[in-house]
Amino acid sequence: WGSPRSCPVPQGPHPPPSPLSFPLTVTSEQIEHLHRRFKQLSRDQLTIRKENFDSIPDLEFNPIRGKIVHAFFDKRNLRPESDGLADEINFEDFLTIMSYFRPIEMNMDEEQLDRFRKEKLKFLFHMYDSDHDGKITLQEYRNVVEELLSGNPHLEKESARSIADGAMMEAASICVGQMGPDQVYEGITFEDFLKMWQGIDIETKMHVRFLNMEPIAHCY
Amino acid sequence: EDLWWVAARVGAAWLTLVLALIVLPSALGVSLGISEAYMWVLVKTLEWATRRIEKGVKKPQPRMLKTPAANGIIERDKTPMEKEIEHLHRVDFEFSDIFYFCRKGFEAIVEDEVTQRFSSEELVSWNLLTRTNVNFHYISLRLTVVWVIGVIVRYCFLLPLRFTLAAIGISSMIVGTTIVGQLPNSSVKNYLSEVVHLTCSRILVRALSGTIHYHNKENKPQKGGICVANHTSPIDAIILTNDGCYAMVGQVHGGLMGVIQRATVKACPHVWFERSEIKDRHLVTKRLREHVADKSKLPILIFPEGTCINNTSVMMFKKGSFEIGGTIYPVAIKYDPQFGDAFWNSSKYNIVSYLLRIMTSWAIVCNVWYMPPMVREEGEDAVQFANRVRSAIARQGGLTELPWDGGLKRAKVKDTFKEEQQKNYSKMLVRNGSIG
Repeated sequence: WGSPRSCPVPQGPHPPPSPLSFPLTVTSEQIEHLHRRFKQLSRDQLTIRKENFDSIPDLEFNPIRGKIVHAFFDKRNLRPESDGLADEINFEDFLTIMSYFRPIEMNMDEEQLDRFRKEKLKFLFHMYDSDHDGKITLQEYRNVVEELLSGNPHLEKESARSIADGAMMEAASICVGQMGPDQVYEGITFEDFLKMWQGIDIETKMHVRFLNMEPIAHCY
Repeated sequence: EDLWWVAARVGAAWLTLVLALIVLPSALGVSLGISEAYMWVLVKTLEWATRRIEKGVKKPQPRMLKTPAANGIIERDKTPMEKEIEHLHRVDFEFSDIFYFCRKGFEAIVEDEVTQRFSSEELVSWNLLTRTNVNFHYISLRLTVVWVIGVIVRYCFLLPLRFTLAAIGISSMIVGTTIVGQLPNSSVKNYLSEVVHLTCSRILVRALSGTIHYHNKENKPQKGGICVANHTSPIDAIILTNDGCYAMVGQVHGGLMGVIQRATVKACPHVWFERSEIKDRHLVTKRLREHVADKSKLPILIFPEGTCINNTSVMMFKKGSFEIGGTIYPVAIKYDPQFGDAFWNSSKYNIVSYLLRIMTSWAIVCNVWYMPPMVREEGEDAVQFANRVRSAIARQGGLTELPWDGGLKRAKVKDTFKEEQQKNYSKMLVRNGSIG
């Protein structure tokens, strides 16, 4: 049982005892739950590999299942300034990825909120940018659209393509403004990506909220 | 030799006590009130223990307004895909569409509905069995002392008692049904076979310290019908036969189970299939149809889920049982996990360790609801009928309904399901007129 002290998720001070306060960061109970889930997925091993995610029936439904699982092993998400793919991850890494889905807390200041938002958007950016070159190219974008639409037999590849192209043009007009007839749009960089999301509230769309457990459930 | 003599006397006295206080009343169908007294003491002790634990919690916990669902640790967002994506849309396809699927994926990774059902239910308050509390921390001396006493009582007193009873129950079932089986077929034979089955079931239920509440007895399954129930453990059959006689359906096993099967089939027409016959669905259906058509035969008992679920939900019913025809009598069984967890996690425990756990729990308390009979309606196929019966059982027992197949315990999701979500999403895009 890995001790919670070693995990990077910050343990905040005691939450104020007001009935409307949400929990600060992830509590130790929630970490315990996640640890149990981790053990379940890893079949009691210390690390998880990609194959372990096959045992989740709910996940099979998801069209971008591949990208989600890939995100767990993407080293850019695990440690800042690193790159490549990991073969297996331990519980600490698992928690690091989970922390991208922390809900926002009521008492965060502007700077923290901004950093929070950037982290989440960066996670999303990495999901699109599958060749790790720091740009979302038209081809990568097409890949995502195709994955999302691949189940429908009535939608041909051409239609999927045109959807992607249309959206890409829209993105280009936001980022680069009017393009000349010979200009080629290389790809969406992270700065451009941030520009696209200005003014749109994503914080509430990209979080998983834990239910609070009654104190009696655990004897301590 | 003195020691042996004393031991023999004690053993004899013990046996006489057991026979007089438990076996005889079972045979006559009377209750002496011993179980009720035991349960009362147990409930009082557990309430006391819970209060001690509450007092012992020193950290001030933030009080949340919401009560947590006993079965989940994260709040699942129930917004359907259409609403959410509509809300985000300014252009036909957006980067943001991926949010919905991303979040759903993460929710599934943190906790998925199916795997949850194959592990035991978590209790909100501790019931003094270490196995139900994953993190047993020291609270107070008194509580620990009570817990130790509990262990001693369970392992040194209850376990031998229950084991003796179970042994008596099983051996009398084998002997009794063999004797009755020798008689020629007649109403006397049927009557005697019922008596034997009922008595032995009652002894076995007492062997588990079972307290069962039967509701709506007027809907009890009649002869020539089919009784279907949700499945939590092998004990389900004993719980039901405690109150009536059924014809069991199942595979022939070896060992002790096989001996019991061979003995009982002589007295009462149970339907046992060889392993090879089970594979042939038509053969199975044919035999069951013949049994049901004979109105003088006892109702068949079937568990359509096919595997043990942890009693918080009802999974997909296999349609085979609903193709036989005849009247279906649904029964809902709900165990109270406070006194002992009846769920058999067959991937974690084998049958022997499972029985040991059951026999060292406090008690098995459950509610059984008999429901009004149902028949297949015009234009309804077997699958729809199965789902209708399943909804009724889930509603009555307070269980949730899951469309999943119990076979997912061991196998993976079918590919046809995977494409559903993708189809829905792309249908939405096409509807928004984004093509062309």
